[in-house]
Amino acid sequence: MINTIKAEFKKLFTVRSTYAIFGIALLLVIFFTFYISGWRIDSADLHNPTTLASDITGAIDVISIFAALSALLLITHEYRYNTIMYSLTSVNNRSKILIAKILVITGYALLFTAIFAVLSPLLSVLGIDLHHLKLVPQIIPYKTLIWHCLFYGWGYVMAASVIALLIRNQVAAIITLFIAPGTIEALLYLWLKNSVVYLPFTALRVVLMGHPDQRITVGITPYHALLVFMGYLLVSWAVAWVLFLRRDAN
Amino acid sequence: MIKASHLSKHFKETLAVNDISFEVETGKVTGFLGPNGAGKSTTMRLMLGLDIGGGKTKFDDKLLQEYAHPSQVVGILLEAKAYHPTRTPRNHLKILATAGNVKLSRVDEVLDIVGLKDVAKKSPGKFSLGMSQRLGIAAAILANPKYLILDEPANGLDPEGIVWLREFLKSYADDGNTIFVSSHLLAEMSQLADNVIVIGKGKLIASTSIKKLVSTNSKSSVFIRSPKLSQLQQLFTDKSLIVKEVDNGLEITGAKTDEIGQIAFKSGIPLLELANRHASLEDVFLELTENAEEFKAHEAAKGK
Repeated sequence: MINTIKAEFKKLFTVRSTYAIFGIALLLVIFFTFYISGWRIDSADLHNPTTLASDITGAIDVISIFAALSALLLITHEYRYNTIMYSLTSVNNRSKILIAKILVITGYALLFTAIFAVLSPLLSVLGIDLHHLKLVPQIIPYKTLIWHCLFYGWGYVMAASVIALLIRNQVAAIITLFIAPGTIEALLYLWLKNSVVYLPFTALRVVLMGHPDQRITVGITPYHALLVFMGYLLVSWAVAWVLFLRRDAN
Repeated sequence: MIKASHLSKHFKETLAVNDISFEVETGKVTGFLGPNGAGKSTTMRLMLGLDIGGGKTKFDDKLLQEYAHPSQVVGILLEAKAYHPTRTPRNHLKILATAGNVKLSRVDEVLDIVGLKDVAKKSPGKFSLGMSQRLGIAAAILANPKYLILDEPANGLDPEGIVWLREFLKSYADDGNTIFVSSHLLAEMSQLADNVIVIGKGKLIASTSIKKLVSTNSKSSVFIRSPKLSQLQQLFTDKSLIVKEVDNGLEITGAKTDEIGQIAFKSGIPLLELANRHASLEDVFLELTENAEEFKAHEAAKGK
């Protein structure tokens, strides 16, 4: 099992896309935190004691899709380039592959989220300092912020992984990942109204940012949102797991 | 020994593999032949548990799942370009070595064996089919497995590569290993394989040694050339022999060279050529799979 986990880590870190995606995420965070939230900060935010906390959640909200994309590619590359046949013939039980992928994806998601959660306030402060501005003392609710951010990052990556496992086609999986949270759930808001918070990606955003949309007046707490999201995740992973064991490997 | 029992596979309403059972002898090269769409690749995937279907395949009386590291038992090459285009061959093999619990030093060894050492750190995205096949072979032999299952490994190889592959597989089998290989190159297979398994439309047609297959499934004939062919043709027809005009001569079935020579001598007809003609593996293959071709060229198109 250890060998399988090591092999999955190597798969993730020996393709160009992992580094390219990380690089794009880094550039975006530098732009939004160092330049927009730091260098060009408006005076209202300078006097807001929660500016840095907002920067952190804002950055994690934006870049989690990049970690999710790397995880999605880790799975769909196997089918696109047919390396899945090597993966499956190196183990005596298909579930080992899936467990190894979950562990690697989880590790990567937590590391990715932690790096950007630390980097984004530092870059904001750097931008403000270089512009010779002064930020009021900040209130950062560390415990809440840590679990909200890490869960959001992990949840997004796990959702992307299950999309990849169910769809397997790389292009279709990427399209689904990009349109499901924004487009589909936004359209469903027109029909579901406040109940939209019970949809998976909206619930996940509630965990990170509270109410994701000002129009929603009937909200749920981040804890309830976590349970909603986990419900979707567990059911979809259970289906994906069964299919992974029963489907042909191509 | 590989023992495949009652392998079967449905694709919706199509029966791709229909209750096939066969054995692959240890220490030998066994060719796996069949027309396009016969179910060769599906059978190989079923044997490895990559496709889900009926039947079992045992490798030395054990299912592949019963081994701690299956890739140390069976090396596979089912598709030449089964690698990520931006992952270097070295990294590709390192991943396989890690997953299969193989020493990483073996990676450079196999790259050297297949002749890819110089491109070990280059992206394989623009590899030719031949280079991809070599990388696939490197992956297959990485763990030095007792069994190799190879699907069309000679595809895309240049003549030098084909000779190299033949010699390599023969020496691998000589070391006591077992090779199960499919190919469309029948002439190549006749030089490489000891045994052969033929399937058509998902069914087993033959499973035997190449020598036995050729000798029992096709009649030998005698070829003659003479300035008086029409007279000879009449003579042989009168003696109830089967005579066919080919290549400016006659092909006679049902008699040996001695008898043909004597008949011509007694009739005072000179012979310019008198030779035995043995059926090739290709002849036998075409004969056996005549009615088992899924995708057949139109007769008129064949003649063009």
